[in-house]
Order: sequence, then C-alpha cells, then structure tokens
Amino acid sequence: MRYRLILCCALIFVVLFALAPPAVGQARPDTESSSFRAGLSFGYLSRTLDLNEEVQDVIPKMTALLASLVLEYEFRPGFSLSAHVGYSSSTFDGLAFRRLPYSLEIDTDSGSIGGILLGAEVEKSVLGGAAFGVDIRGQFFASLGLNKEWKIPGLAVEGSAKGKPIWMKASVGPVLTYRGWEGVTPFLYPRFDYLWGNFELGQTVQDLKGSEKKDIKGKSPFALGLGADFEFSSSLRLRAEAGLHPRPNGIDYSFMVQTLLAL
Amino acid sequence: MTILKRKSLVITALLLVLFASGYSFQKAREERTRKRATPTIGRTILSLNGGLPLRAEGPRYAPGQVLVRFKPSVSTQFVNATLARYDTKKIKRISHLNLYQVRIPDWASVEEMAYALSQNPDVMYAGPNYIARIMVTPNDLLFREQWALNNTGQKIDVPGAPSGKAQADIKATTGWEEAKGSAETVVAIIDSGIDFEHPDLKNKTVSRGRDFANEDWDATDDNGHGTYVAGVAAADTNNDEGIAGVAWNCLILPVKVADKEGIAFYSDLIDGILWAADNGADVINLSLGGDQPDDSLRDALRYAHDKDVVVAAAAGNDNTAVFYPAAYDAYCLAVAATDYNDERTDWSCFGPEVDVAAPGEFVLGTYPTYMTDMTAYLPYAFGSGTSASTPHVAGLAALIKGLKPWLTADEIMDVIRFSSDDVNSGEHSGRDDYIGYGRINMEKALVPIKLSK
Repeated sequence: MRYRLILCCALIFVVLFALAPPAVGQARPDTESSSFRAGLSFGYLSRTLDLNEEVQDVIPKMTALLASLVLEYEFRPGFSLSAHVGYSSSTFDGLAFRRLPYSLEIDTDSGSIGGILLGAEVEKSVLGGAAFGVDIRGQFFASLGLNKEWKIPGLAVEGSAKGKPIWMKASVGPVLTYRGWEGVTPFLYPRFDYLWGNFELGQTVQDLKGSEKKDIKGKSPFALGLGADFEFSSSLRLRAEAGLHPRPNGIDYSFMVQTLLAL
Repeated sequence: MTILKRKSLVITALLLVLFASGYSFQKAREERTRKRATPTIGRTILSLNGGLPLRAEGPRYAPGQVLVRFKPSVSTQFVNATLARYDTKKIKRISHLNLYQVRIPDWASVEEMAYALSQNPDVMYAGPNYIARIMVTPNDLLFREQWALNNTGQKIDVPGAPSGKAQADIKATTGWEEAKGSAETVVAIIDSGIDFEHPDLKNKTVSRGRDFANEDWDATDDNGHGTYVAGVAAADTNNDEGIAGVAWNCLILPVKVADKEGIAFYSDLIDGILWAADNGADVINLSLGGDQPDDSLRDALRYAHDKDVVVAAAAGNDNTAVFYPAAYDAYCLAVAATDYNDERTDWSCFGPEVDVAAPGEFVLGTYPTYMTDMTAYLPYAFGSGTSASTPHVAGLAALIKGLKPWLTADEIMDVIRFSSDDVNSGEHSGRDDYIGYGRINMEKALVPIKLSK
C-alpha cells in the first residue's frame, strides 16, 4: 500500500514535470515539431512473488512474455508519450489455493495464461549536455488475464477450475544517458518498480463450488535497467534493455526490445 | 417427549446390536512374546526429531547451491576452471557421476545459475540441489501395524491373515503433511464410552462425556467397542507408544449410548446425537446402527447436520441393505468396508446410501486397559467391521474441518466423497452401491491438487 502511494505520487510528478517547459541547456535540438512513431515491443519478465503466506512449499514466481503494438507521440523533442496494446502470456509457480473446498496448486505444469496487455509510458528530458543527459521515465503496464480452465485430476467425479490473473507493473525513475556515440545511446535506468495484482481461481465439482482470490506482489520494489537506444536512421529506432530486480536471496530479471518507426 | 414415549414402546424391537458383534477382536500378540523379541519396546526407542512431528515444510531446494554434472570426459582441472569462470565454489564432488555441488555467488539466483551452467557444452545437467524429507510418519510404536493408514504390504499380525497390497490405504502419511488437525476440532464418539485411562486416549478427551445408557456423566467404556473406535479416529499420535489416530491432534467427546452388551436403545442414541451436537461436536462417529428406520433418529441426524456437524455412520456388517442411521443419506456419510487389498469385504452392507468405504478388516485400535490382561497383552486389538471403517472417515472429516472451518457439513461430505479412489472400478465404474464413490483418500482431500494443462 505504501509502495503504491509512493508510486502514484511519483507518476503524478513525472506527468507534471513532463508538462513543464523544456529544461535550460537541454542539448537536443528543437528542429522538429511533434510527431508520431509506431512499432512493436517484446518483453520478458521473471519475478519472485510475495504472497504474505506462512505455508509455502515452493517459492512463488511469475514469468511473463509480453508483446505489444506501440504508438508514441512526441510532443516536442525530449518529451514523449507512448501507448501499448498487446498480449501477455503469464506463467505462475507455487501458487496454492487452500481456501477452496479442494486445495489446488498452480505451478509451471499448469501452463501459461493469456491476457490483454495495456500500457503507457511517458519520458521527458530533464538535463542535457554534450555527452550526458538525464531523462525521467514512468511506465505502467496492466495484464488483464483471460479465463483459463483446467480439469481437476484424480477426483471420483468431473471437476474443473477456472483462473484469471490480473497484474500491474508500474515503474518510475531517472534515465541516465550517454550521448557521445553516433547512433547508439546507452542508458542506465534505476527505478522504483512495483508489481502487484491478484489471481482468482474458482472451482466447481458438481454442487461443490468455491472461489479464492489471492493477492500477489513482486518481492522487490526496485530495479536497475541497462540498455541502449539504437538510431538506425532518422526514422527507425530500436531500444533494448535488461532489467535486474534484486530481492532477498537472489535477483529477478527482465528483458525488453522495442522498435519504433516514424510515421 | 411424545417422540421419546413412542420410542420407548418400540425399543425392544429396535435394540441396536453394535457392529461390535460382527467385529472380531484379536489380541495383537502376547506382550511377553513381544518383550522377548524386542525387549526395548516402549522403553528405550528414541523419539525421532525430539518427539516433534517431522514436517515437510520450508524451501524446496538448498539456497545458494547448484548441482552440476559434467560430461565424463571433462577433466577435474577443466571443471575447476569452468566453475571459477562462473564464480562458483566447489562444495563437494560425487566422483562416480562427475557431479559437483557448488556454491553460487550472491548476485545470481539458483535458477539463473543453473540455467547458465546448463548452457555450457561440457555440462550434462545443472539444477537446484533439491531437498528430500522424511515423510510424516508418527513415532507410535504400533504404527507399522496400521496398514489402513500406510499399507506397505506388511504382514498383518493376526494369525492366518495375509500380507496386504501396498498402497491399499487411506494415504494418511501424505495427508498429515498438510493437516494434523487441531484441538479445537472435536470428534464425538457415540458408542459404548471410552477408557479414560488408556495411554493413547487419556490426553485426548474433552471431558468425562455423557452416559445415556446409565444416565450419568461418566462415559467409561464397559464393552470395549467405543474405546476401539475412538482410538482409530483420534488416538494420541506421535506420543512414542501405541497407535496413530487419523485425526492426529483432534479431541474426543465420549458419549455412551450402548451398554456393556453393546446394545443401544434408539432413545439413547437420539439423545446422544442431540447432546453431542449441542456440546461442541464438529464430527460425530456412529459405529453402530439398527435395521429399522425411525423418523426421530432421522430428525436427530438432521438436527446435527443443520448445526454443521459432519456425521459418519457405519453401513453395517450383514451384507444386506444399509442399516440406520447410515441409511439417512442426506444427513450422514454411510461407510462401507474395504480390506487390505482394497477390495470390498463380503460382509459390508450395500445400497444406494453407501457414500464411501474405508479399511475395515484387521484394523488396529485401542482396547480398554482394564479389560486387558496387561501382563500378557498390550491394550490394543485388531478389529473388523464397518465399525472400524467409520472412524477413518470421521477422522478425515475432523482434519478437513480443522483445516477449512468455513466449509459446511455438506461441503465436507462432498469433499470426502469425491476425493475417494474408485478401487473397484474394474467391476463397477463410478459410484456404486458397494463402496459408494470409493475408498477414502486423505491425500486428495487435504493436499493441494496440482493443475496441469
């Protein structure tokens, strides 16, 4: 809850900041007016989950593959807003639902669950010099899971379970860029990165019915992104990023590749 | 009152003969013989794990460790260099397999390092160092005789009895990994009372109970049947002696309705059911019955059921139609008997009211100390009958109730029914009149079922 509050404040700050006039000394030339870009984004994330439960036979985890169409609008150089629409495929491990009449467990053998992916991203240059720059970036993604149905094995009668995960991910932080190379801009993106949501699983075995909603959240609220923007031409850009999410006793990770073409 | 008056008129016709008459106690063995063979029994055998239950909890694999198996052709020198490249440190080498247990650096997770190492062409396999645990097995000395709870195909210690079929049991050890019950869950044993001094029962009773057969407040057993049934359902478990009860940590509420001959009047039985329902019972075990229906008996069951008390009742041992109250299908689970081979016993009653079956032949239970020649025998006995089957079901109901107190009696009954193993599917696929949905399975009823795509 505390993290979500901080995150909301941070996102509001980013939006307000983005609407402010360009920074003094900003290095990027203001040669173009606003413009649209469109492209594709692919991502992967693997996050250890905190279920706030005492009994945990397996460390709960979520991995997700993300693919989305991206539409970016650049209000002015150094200030852009993007929207994502796409598909997510989430796999869970170690989720035990013990409040159902028959306790059920979702693990990697349970398969992936598809979902609609929606996202938004805002980025604004804050400081700029000849070689180094500082931007601020905020992102929000939501995966609205589609219902998946399983047969409950081993019972004397037919039984089924239906599950639907919904998760969200919000991150905000400064982007430290190096602009000294032609066509490649490496960056560091230390950020507050919060993942939360829920997984609702229903069960029907003849007249026996039950439903359980389990809150999930990522184990670590911080991440460090390492990546680069590749400007292949004035109209084609590719961004690649690897994210490291440190947590107690380990590290989670994520990857993202995004191409954008000027329209 | 009018109901009870009517009851008294028909009492003589409706005497209940406990299924005790059908069950055959056989002394487990002579204690002297056992003492000669194993003079340390109950004396010097140490408690495993300091007397505490061994629990299958905690992480699935060793944190910070990975097992890496290199191809046989890869030399030790090369292995050391490879491990150093991954910033790992060797803990142990198992030379037969060229397998290395390594400590991984703090910056990597077990999964990442296992994945990274598995990509190396010299590595056959890399994965977490998984943890194996001893199954939850109670330390009760006679547990090995309890094939009904854990059938390893052991020889049954009754003269003439064969060995059972491995796995023909109710999967108690796996079920206990998830739930051992709680002292808040009370199983009423409505029977001939219990032996309050029995070493496996003396710490398990809620109170001295109620005696409707003699109209007093001391449910001491003068027949033996109630003590036996109580032990199967909820004997003191993991206490270094005797047997294990299905409802490991649950308590017993003794209600005596049968006299020393094993006869119970319906009036006392009705009283007993109503009293148990009003006095904290979560589950009622009825290892008794009669062949006559009775509306008041049905109403007493309905009263208990409406108070969310789960009732398990013995189907009967006469190879006829199901006895009452087990035949009141809407309000109780009617329990048939299977044997050590997972086959229905040829004496178990049958009919559409049968819900489930449970082990009922040569089942080891507690026996009153004062009815036992303690110099020659242990206060335990093998018994057969649906009387022996029913407390297995009552015990399971108590474990479910303790684990999921929000479930209604109907839901718990369904959980028990549908999680049963259809062990006679070869002859009668699906629910049938002989063993109902099948022989109960504690694992499926209690442990999370994995969903697979």
